Amino acid sequence: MNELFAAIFEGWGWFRLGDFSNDLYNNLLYTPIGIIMVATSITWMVIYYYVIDHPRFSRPWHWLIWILILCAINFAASNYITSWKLTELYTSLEKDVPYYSEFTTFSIVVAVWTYVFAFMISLLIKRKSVMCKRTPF
Amino acid sequence: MAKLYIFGIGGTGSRVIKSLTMLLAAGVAMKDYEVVPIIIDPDSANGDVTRTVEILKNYQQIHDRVNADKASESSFYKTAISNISQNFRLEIKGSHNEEFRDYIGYSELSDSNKALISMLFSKDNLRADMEVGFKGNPNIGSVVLNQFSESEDFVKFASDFSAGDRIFIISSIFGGTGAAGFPLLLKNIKNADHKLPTWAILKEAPIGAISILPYFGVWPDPKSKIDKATFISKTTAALSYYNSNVSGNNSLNALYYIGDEVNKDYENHEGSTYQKNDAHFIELAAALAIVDFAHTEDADLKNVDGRAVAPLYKEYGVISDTETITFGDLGIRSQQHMQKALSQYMLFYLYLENHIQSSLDLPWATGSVKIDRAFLAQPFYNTYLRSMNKHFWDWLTEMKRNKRSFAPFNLKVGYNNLFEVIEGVKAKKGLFERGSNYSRMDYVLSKDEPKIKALKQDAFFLELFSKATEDLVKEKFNF
Repeated sequence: MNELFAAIFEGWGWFRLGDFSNDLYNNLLYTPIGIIMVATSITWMVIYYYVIDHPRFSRPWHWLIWILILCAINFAASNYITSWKLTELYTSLEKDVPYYSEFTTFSIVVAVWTYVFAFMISLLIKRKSVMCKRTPF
Repeated sequence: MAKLYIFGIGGTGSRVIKSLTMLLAAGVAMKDYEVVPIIIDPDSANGDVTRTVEILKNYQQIHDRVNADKASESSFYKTAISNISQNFRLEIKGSHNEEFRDYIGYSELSDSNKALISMLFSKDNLRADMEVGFKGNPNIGSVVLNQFSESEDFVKFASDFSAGDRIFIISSIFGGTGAAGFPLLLKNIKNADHKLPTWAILKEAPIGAISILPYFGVWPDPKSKIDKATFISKTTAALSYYNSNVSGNNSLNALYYIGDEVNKDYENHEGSTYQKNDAHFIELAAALAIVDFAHTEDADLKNVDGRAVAPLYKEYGVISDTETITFGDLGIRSQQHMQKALSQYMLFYLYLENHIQSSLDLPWATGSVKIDRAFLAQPFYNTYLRSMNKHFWDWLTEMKRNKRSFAPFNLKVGYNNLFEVIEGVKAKKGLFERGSNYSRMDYVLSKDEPKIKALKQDAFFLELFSKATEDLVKEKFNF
């Protein structure tokens, strides 16, 4: 699973962040971040399409705000997990953490993948919704 | 499809037909009868008549468009309404533009006949201009309206009549046109000219009628020939006549009576465009008599040799003698006939009036059949439906302000209390219900949209709202 999420988050090489990506891979950090992304995206979109499913929240911009909140959650989760785990790692090695902007860059990548994934889930599940079956289109 | 010919005589007849049309628009069933309204009123400019004709024409346009390709599944505007003459009117020859004395050729009569005429008609009667009807004088009406059988429209009706069709006659008993026209019309139907191929069918036709007793007055006006003080005496005389010549000889299969204390006086207009009385509950209840007649079994309306075997006599009553009537004050059959249908149409009206413009991007309007601004600009919606809905609102408003008042709906219902629209009925609220007020309607419309099979916009629109409002009144009010 770590292989799969590594390939996704590294964009098959396009988004590789050098040693930072190696550290995430070697410490199996792609798996929890990937599982959180998949689980929260499915839960979040099911809530939107089947639990809320409300006339007042059925416009495309409601859907967009809902997904952006999901992206923000995954941004925060990935940022927290990577900084916590890598800080823990480098502290045990008695070294300073050699990364700074990489945490934010990686979290942005996770947020973008969250958007893409949530969008695909929307397409798959929207048809059975009452008010949101044509949201976002 | 069998036809139910409804003769509305005089201003009251027109107003009852208007109420019936509103019930039909709302979806009150007529047991698959095609309704053929025929208005008999020599007062060609009568405000009540012109308004009723406009409503009937709008109804026809909507019904015909919705049922153009196949029979619509919408309960709204389901019953077909057709006409035997333009403007739904039965023209009586020579009943316009002349004084009564000229009509009977008074000046050419011998002195002895003039003396006889003077015993039957006052000078005012003889000088009466018939342009605006008979001004509450049934003695004039009985002469003029005796020409039914010579009317082209009557011949057309008689020729069109088939076995299985029924006839219903609406008339007031306290005016001029209705009181005189009813027994004459009945006589002409029962004794139709034997040259007509349908005379035997007409003789055996099931006929119902409603005789409307006084329920309103008019202000005293020395210049007017209409005086409410004569209403009761005219009614008594007419009832006495009917006792011998209508009900007494079993000419009718079903005779309905309705009336009320005179609670309100209208402005005293002899006729023409000024005679445009507010709608009244009595007229709605009279329309329910027609619905009742349509649902009466054939076995209960049998004739032998032109006479009813077991004539039915019915009176109308409400449960509570109250100044303001709501659905809860009506008898169970009245409630069954119209409570659900009118409530559905009221929700339909309110949604169109207050909410539709902001909902065109919701799923119910963006499915396989698009309901967009272009649709709202087409005549079906923008002309016919909006006009019908305006008349529906006026009709409810007038009945509410009349005495006695019929106020089944809260006409001041707002955006945040939509389901408080039915007076005296508390709406149910589900714990996990999605949407409230108009949002709830949006939700139910969107839920029902995939179930609608109609492909044409007009039919789809009415079917969807018919289904959604049906679900809503069941969910909210258990109707």
